[in-house]
Amino acid sequence: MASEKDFDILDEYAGNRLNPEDRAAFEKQLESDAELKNELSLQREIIEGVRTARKAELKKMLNDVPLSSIPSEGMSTALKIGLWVVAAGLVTSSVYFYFNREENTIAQPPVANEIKEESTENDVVTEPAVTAESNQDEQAAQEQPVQPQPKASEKQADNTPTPKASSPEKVEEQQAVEPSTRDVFDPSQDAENAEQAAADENGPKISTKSSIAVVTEVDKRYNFHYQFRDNKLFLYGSFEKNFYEIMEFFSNNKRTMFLYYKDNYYLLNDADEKVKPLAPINDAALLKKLRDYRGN
Amino acid sequence: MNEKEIFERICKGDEKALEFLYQKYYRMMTKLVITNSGTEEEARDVYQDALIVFWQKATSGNLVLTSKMSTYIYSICQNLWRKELDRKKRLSSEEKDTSVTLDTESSEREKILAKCIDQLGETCKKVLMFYYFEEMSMQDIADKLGFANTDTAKTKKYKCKKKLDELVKAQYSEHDFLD
Repeated sequence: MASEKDFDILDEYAGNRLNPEDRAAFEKQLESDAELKNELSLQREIIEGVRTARKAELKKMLNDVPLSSIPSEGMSTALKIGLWVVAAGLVTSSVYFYFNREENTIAQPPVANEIKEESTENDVVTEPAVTAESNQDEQAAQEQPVQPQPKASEKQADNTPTPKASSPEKVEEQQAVEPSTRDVFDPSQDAENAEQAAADENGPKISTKSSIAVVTEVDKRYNFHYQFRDNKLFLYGSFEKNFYEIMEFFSNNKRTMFLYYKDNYYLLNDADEKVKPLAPINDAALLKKLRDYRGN
Repeated sequence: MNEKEIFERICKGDEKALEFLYQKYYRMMTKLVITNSGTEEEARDVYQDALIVFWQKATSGNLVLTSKMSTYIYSICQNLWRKELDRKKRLSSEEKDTSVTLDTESSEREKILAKCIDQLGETCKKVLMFYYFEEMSMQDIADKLGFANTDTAKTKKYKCKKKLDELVKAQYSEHDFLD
């Protein structure tokens, strides 16, 4: 029969508090004492219960730690939208480029990056980067304060340092539509068109004006996805800390959008409101055009 | 608080230092999981578990840091997330109808245990938790809970454990769980 002393040692044994010698001696005793063995099994269960309860308590404590002081964590959607607008507004020299010739129009709203215009040959209309008018509101667009810069065709992006891509984000669930298979506007073609437009006596016209509000959200279901909803582009994932850009191209009244993020380009398909994974564009020819156009 | 100060406070079981550490490395640690196919929730879960492993080792006096705390915690996160990914992989490759078999008796016993622990007074709970989970010394328990000395802490722990044993045994007998 196990004594009170045995139970004390058993408690220390189950609580990992015996020194190696006493431990070995107690294990020897256990071999020949079935009652002690049973009691050990029960004590281990009780002690494990205490540990589990403590672990749950600590987890609850950590869950209750406010994360608002951590940059970009726990930020509300409204605040993110607000910051987006403020950031865009501050970059007053950011511009849209509208190369308008007949149906083709290009617009590239640089976001968080500053783009300088250099005067050359073509007429370019510049205006503040992010506004929220509808695409069809041509008249309103023309009423925007615009600063025509004559003879500018060559742009040079003076980018703020963009974080280096560590590794491309993994998106395994679904392959995005390969851009090359779509009716994608070709930036280089339009640049040529723009040059021709310079010779056009009618000069440039703003026929289309587009910018889309972008909301970044952390959603536990999506780690690197996007969605068009309510005339907004939702980016799901940890985008806050890094700069990203939305590039818009207009061709034949069709809009094609790309996301530039961490040295990768992603096609944004706005055909529906489904949440889609972001998959980097691999088409070398398209990538080159996008890079050329973006200036990196 | 510098690195050394935080670690010393954690070794003493200072929960405020743990909260501070949690905030400090939150982004760094959760990013590891998020950029490796994990969700924000999974990332938080893994980071919390890793931090609790670190806490337990530090408070028990079994940890001699040879690297920065962040490096150590990061490696725990990596291991935990790798294990979780392996578990998910196994689950997805198994047949659905054979993958989940609930051990009802053991989950019933766990519930009873949790209920018994809840019935203890707050001080009793803390003494037992600090003794068995944090594996603190009697001196640290006495300091933390404001006991006069280690003897008081020892007596308190003894009485509280006895009470818990009695509660559990009574409940287990009622449910025919005892041999």
